[in-house]
Amino acid sequence: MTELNTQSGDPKHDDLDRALDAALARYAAVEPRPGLEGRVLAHLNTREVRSPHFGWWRWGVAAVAVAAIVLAFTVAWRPGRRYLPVAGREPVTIPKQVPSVVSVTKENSVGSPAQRPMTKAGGRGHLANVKPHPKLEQFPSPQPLSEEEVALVRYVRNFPEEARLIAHAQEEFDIQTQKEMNDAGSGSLASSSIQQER
Amino acid sequence: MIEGRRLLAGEAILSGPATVERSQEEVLESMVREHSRLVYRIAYAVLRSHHDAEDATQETFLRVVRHRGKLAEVEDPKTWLARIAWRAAVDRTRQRGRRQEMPIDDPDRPVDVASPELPADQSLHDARLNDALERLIAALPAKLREPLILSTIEEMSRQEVAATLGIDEAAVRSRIFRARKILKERLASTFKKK
Repeated sequence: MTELNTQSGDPKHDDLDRALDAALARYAAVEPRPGLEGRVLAHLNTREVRSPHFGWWRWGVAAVAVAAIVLAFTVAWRPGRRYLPVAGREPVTIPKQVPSVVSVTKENSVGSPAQRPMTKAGGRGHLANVKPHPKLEQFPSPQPLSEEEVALVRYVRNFPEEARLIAHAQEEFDIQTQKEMNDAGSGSLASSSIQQER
Repeated sequence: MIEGRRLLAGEAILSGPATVERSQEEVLESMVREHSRLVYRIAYAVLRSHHDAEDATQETFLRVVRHRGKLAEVEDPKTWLARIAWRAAVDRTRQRGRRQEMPIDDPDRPVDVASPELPADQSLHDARLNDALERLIAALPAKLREPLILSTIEEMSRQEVAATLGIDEAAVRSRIFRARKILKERLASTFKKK
């Protein structure tokens, strides 16, 4: 290895100084890969298309999307009247003459054996000061009246004759439907037994 | 004369945002074409990697785009760019989280090609000197290293180095002198051992 002369007379002509100068010049004397300018400009043009101009547009779309999601959640989780406590309701009076009007409701039409507490009260079902319900075997447990049921009660109160006619018609329809189902079921049993004999 | 002023005013009114934006693009393009090499060299001086230096160059001009509203206020675009390039390179160093010193077997490490004009032993000597210098510069304190490596870039004057680093010219001279002194001492001891 060539020894570097470190004895400095004139610093400018010192071998070490010269060597250092040359080495420092080489240290930074690098050239970029050809086409650097083109790549930089191309990259800038690409980023320009996706620049904050579009960024503002994106923020607007994002804000609308967030608002839509919040609105959807608000609508979906809006508490309905179904969840109002029973004890706070006004007493609903049903005329004594109307027999089993509540049988028109969909729960009773499928043969639910239990009756609503208001009908068992003998027509004058006062729900004020309601005592705690006994544990019923019915599932699901009775719910407070829905809007439709309240409307039905109001209709029965105001138009008892029409309600009676509708109730009778509904009963007959249910009986007819049950009969047809029974006939259809016995018919299929008969045909299958015939096939078995064969 | 009045008619001339009217024409100029008309042009000024008609040259709306589209024209202003076009001129900014032209200014930006001219900056890229004129100074990208300098920016690259500044980045390389810090990062010592061609790949990282090009990334830092891209980042530099992206920052320029973000602040293009200030282009009209810039008096010295070269120094302004150098400052941004310096910041971008230093930020990239911090992100990398590694020391400035490059391992010998790093593929991005600059390779000294033996010059056909020089004797083989001279080329070999230069290569070893460069190698030693790389390590010694990396080992310098940042305060001394930064002005030294910027001063090695031929396009940068002492005044521009001072403006880039945010220090005065006297401090730049003083720090470069101290850095060179340390390097000479260490180089001398390194080559004397061998």
